[in-house]
Amino acid sequence: MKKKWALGLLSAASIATLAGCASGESADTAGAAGENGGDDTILVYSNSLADGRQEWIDEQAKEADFDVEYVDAGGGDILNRLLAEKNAPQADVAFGMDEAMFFQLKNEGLLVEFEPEWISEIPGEANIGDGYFHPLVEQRIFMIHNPEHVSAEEAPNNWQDLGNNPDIAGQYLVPNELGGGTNQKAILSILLQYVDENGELGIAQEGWDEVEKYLANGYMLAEGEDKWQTFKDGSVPVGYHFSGGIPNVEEEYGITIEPVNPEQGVVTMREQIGIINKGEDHDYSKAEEFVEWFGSEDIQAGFVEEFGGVPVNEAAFDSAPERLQEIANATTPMDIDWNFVQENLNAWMEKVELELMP
Amino acid sequence: MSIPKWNQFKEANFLSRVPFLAFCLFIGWFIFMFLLLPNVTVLIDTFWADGQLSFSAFERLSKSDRAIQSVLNSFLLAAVLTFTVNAVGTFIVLVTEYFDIKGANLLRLGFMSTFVFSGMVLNNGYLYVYGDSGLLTKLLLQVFPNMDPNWFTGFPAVVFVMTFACTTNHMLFLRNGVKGLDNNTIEAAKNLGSNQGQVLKDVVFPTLKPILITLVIMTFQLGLGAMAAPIMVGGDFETISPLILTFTQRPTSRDLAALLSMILGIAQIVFLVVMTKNEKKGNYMSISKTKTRVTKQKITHPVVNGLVHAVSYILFFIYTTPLVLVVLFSFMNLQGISQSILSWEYFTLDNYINILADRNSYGPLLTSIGYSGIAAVLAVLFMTLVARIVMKNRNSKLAQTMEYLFYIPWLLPALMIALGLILAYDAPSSLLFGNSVVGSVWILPLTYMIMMLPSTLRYIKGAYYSFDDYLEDASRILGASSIRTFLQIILPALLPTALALVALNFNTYLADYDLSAFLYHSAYPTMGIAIRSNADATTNINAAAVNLVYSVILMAVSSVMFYLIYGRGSQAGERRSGIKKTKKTLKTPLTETEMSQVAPGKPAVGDNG
Repeated sequence: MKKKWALGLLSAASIATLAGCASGESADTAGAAGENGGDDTILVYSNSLADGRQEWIDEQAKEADFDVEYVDAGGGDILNRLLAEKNAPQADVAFGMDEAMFFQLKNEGLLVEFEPEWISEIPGEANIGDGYFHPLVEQRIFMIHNPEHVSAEEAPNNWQDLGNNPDIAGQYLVPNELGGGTNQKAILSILLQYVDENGELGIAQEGWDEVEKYLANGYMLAEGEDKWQTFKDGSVPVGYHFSGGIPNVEEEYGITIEPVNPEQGVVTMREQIGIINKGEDHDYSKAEEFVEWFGSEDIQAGFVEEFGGVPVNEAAFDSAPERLQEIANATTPMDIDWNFVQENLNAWMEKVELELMP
Repeated sequence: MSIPKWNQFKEANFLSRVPFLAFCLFIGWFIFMFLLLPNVTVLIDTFWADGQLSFSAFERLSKSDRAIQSVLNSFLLAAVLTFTVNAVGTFIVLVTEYFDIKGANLLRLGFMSTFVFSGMVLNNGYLYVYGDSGLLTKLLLQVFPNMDPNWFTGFPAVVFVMTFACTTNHMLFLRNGVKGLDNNTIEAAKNLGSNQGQVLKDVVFPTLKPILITLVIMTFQLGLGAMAAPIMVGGDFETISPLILTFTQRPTSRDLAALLSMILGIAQIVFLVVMTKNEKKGNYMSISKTKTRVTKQKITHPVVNGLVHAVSYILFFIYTTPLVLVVLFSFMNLQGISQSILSWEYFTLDNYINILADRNSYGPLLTSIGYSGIAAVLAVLFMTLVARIVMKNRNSKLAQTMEYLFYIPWLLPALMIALGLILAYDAPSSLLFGNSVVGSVWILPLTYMIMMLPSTLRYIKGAYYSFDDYLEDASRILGASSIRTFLQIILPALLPTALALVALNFNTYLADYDLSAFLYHSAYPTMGIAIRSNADATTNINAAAVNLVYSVILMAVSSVMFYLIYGRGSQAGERRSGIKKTKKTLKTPLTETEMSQVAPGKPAVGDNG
């Protein structure tokens, strides 16, 4: 009986090998194309759907009579997928990635222009997408220290202080890879202080040297090691993080996290939303309605109340958790030319990975 | 493109050549469509910058001490593991299947744990034992208070973890080989006066040589591609795979990824060619016509016997302690996990309840089971047929070329192969019967299958070597058609290996994230996507705990699959291929006479070497 089962499985599958590739799969594709091509379904690509966000958005969207499907992955993965699908775009709307990624999409001709009405509630300096993409939620990435182990006087004033102080060698966190957005921002925080047209990749040699010292003197987390445990027990009491994650950590680990606001300010990135270019003949009305709806004060306020974060929409700012408002007030956004960053970011990160990481 | 010369495949015994020719046509189409065109497309896309071919990757790479050191480290690791893994792997197979060791069933279960226990979670488990707050470290600190709690790091730690983590292939394929040994040959050798060492050296190992060669090749590859262990316990010892992954994910660094990956892939294939040359030279003893199952050999030397027992049980604890700790820690809350403290105080069932009660978890699980299941079965079937053509045409250049073309997926990172498929078929293609791969449901299982092909082919080929040609001849002389011969004679004999491969391939992609993120259809998210969504460290502070629970659940699913596919399936296969159990009553006295006649460890008179 068992052998029949096993052989049956194999022979059934063997028929599928020979026949399936030709006929079976084409039927699937036709079905799939139909699903995606439906006029009313909005396919959303985002890195901001994790941990219950997708369910929450879906619930609100159903109430507002939207039919939404989702592709949920990390920011870099979503960007890669959008770029790879350039000749046959699937997504209708993308949101959650930062301005550098959206600039890349825009430069590749992957976005269409659209001005939602809520744009009037966005501070002018935050709206840098030339009408192709618009900011939703703000994240600030800054140095942090644990006041239980490092007093305000001992705390570094700027990123460069870390690499130049042998006393804290191995006691501050540095990126162990540069695929993640927050890790990239740590490096940017140093590099962007040394912008120089004549330097390599637009950065003065001094800037590269500072990054090298910063990395060499710091502590790299092993994969799976608990960053917050080392921060709490004092073995690595200085590091960096993004604002949105702070309140949860403080609560869960019972610690206080003190942000550091250097003179040039802190890297402030904004999660954006944009409509994907699917050709001139495409009907964008549903996607436009969705963007109009999703960026509105009500939804953004509800979203940050539920999941934390500081909305860029000024009308919704008060809905942000109190702790985040405190952090927002304690730090100043750094003035950043994102188009310049976008042009060089990949080359910078590659150079750091190849030549500067210890 | 190579246009197959069909006449080289002439086989007089093929009753009907139509299915064969159709299959050859299919192979040609498949190789061109899924192995050549997409990968050439992606390589051109990668190295073609601003309208011209750019090889700046070489220059950028040569400036990087870090990358060069990482490549060298990968090779060093591969070389060392080739010895350590094969030594441990062979040992654990022999003590569970060949020698008579007390408690072999328990030992086997422990050694088989790596079937389902691997990757990041395995390294996690090892850290629970040897890490700075691990069980063993805490014990050692009581004895040597001055030792460094971070002792388990760097190259030795990576070698240690991987030596035990990478014996899965031995427990699957070498075990099949040992179980397929013929007891009559062994008994004959013993009756001729060979001692146990000589039987091993002259009878057992030569028969197992094709499998051992395959295992050496595969271990070398595991070492080259090492990822989880170096980033988790490696410390300063960096290997190249993590860098390749980062480079693959950044479009402007993809040329570096391709270059590095090809360096590894070519090394792998050169190694394969060298080993295969060796394989062809070999002269394998054919298995006797009336196979009987191996009787477990009692180790005659009492000291050796005691030593082998002791080592076996030490290994058993090395294998199982990390697994037990992972399961226990999956019931701890975040505080317990982050401090590595097992205590009732931290005990929680919440994580399990949250995941198991969430109906949204089951859809992705079924999708992943379906995708990797279909891909695994198809890859094994396809390669079984291809390996047969390769073996039947051993001297044909065309068949050899075909074999090597199937190793192409070793040359590029999985993500680039996926990218190649998208770039090549992002518009409906007549070569694909008017289909496009973008947004399709089947692109993901297809990519899984493509990635499974090289090692599957390699193992199946190894299994063919130990298959008895005469059985096939007999079947055809008796008038069975070649298809019937294949289905009724060859397939059952290959079944243990084939099923092991199905189970292994299935497991490899069950929790895949990297390929899924790139290719999954919005209506069918996979398990990897669901896990990231629920256990993303940037949004979920509890991610480590949730991840651990998912890992344990996936291990349970994999175990069930292994039992169903491999455990029960291979029993069916054994009966089918006609291995008979020997009657214990007959063998026991024989072994005893042999024992009393031959002095332990000394060659007996009349030994013919």
